[in-house]
Amino acid sequence: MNSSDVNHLADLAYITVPKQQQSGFEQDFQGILQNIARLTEVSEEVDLLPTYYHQTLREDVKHIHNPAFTSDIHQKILQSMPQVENDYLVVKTILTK
Amino acid sequence: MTTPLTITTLHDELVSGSTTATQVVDSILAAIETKNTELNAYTEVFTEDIKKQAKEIDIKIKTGATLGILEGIPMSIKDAIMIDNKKCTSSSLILEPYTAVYDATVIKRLKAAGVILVGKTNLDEFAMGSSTESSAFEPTKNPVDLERVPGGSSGGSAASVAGGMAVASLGSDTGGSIRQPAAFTGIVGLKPTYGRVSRFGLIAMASSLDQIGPLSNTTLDAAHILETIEGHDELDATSVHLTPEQALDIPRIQTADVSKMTVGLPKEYFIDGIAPEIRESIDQVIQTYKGLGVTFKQISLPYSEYAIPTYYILMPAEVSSNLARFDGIRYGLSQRDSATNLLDVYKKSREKGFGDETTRRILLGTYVLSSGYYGSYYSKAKQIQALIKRDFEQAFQDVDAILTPTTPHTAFKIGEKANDPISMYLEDIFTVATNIAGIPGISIPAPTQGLPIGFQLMSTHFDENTILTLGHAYEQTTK
Repeated sequence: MNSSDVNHLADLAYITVPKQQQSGFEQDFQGILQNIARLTEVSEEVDLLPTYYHQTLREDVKHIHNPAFTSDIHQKILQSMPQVENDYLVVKTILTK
Repeated sequence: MTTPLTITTLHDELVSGSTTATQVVDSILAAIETKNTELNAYTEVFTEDIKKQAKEIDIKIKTGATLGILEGIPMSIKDAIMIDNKKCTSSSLILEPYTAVYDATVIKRLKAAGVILVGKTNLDEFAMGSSTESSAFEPTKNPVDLERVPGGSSGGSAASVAGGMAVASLGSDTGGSIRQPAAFTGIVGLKPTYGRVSRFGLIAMASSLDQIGPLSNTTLDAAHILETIEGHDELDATSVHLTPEQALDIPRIQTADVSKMTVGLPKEYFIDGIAPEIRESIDQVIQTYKGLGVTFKQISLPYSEYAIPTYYILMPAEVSSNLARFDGIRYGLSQRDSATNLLDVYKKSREKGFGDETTRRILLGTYVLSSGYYGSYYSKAKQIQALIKRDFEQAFQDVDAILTPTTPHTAFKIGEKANDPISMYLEDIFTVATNIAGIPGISIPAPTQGLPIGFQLMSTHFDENTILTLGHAYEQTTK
């Protein structure tokens, strides 16, 4: 893996890796990938085992206010947001001309 | 060193009136005042809340009302578990501004049980690490030796209990993050079966591996906490309805005869490279159990040698997905003011907010899931996960439990492995297989002439009763 690979992965993950850190990450990945490449030694395959437990999905019920949360949850969520206008989250322009 | 407080002892003292909740809280706050500046176990302490709660509990005791086993017990909470209206940072800058908007289910259950929630504890950023050194808010130190790490990622939780600043704690464990710090600090740490405890309100790292569990001074204390937090939660679709056989049976844990039990010793876990003091300690543990009539049998878990590489594919893959939500848009740190467009907000917020280890794991996860590599890495790792699970299932047909060291060596010095990620990843060598297989595991303090050492017990899915019984029997024999 080289620095252009690291940058490509960073683009996919919406992260910027500063130039001064790129070679460090490159070296780290060489070692990590060598380690995990050991899995190719294993040729045996199994049918993936069923889970050992059975999930119980909840009833699909519409709530005006979900009783699992306090009544002011809407306000609290809005307060967490960086910029709000009339109860709407404000974001940067997505589409440009 | 003073005898650590336990839940059962403290409960008896509160009921008998030989102490009050206010005295207990004052004592905990005094310990925090003396030690926390150095140890950095807590990132936030709820001083006024807990003083008020202690007074309310003392009033209740005076009325003669029955006190629940956890009522009035001071517990710390790993800062990846949400408490309503309290900051929840996962020790990351990207969540430094964030205040939780609801209680995690485990917190609701502890509050209902009357637990005194003392504060939030430090962790490796987003629970990624084995030393608590990658926290954005400085490392935590080991109370037993201030030059050493307490382990991680639940290092703050472990240090708070081992340092006498909490009677117990809740941590989370994805690859060993409860058990390894418990071993490094000389306390008990339990990772339950996957699905036993709700993950709702736990900031997710790897959703198919994460479990919340207790850190405590005794096995019985861990059992009392687990009994309170376990069970199905409709807000977590991966949590299960426990059958009567699977539910904890504390009277049985306290009295069961272990002489009829068989414990497996997997040869793959007793390898060259284990520190001599660990080997010697585990030998003593085995002799103690033999004295109780436990039978030991050598077993093999052949795919264990692939547990670390399997984990370091599956876990980062899930991390890269789970941490996509931290984008500077809806909550947390945001670089929107210096960004020119939406994608710039994401990149700048994430660059500023994430530390090196978090960035490394996100990139690794992105790589193993990317086109052209998914088949070689992720699909292969899922196959080997199935083989590791099969190893355990076959072993548990012949043995009731499995015993191993928790760690290959004792707590290392702060800074010793900080720049060597592979060496740090190998810290999990004895713990990750339990997460991969989804089985429960507990670390219990073992004999030592120096730094703390832990031994690990594992059992089949939902059989926490067996490992808690064995753990309790060991403690009763050696106290």
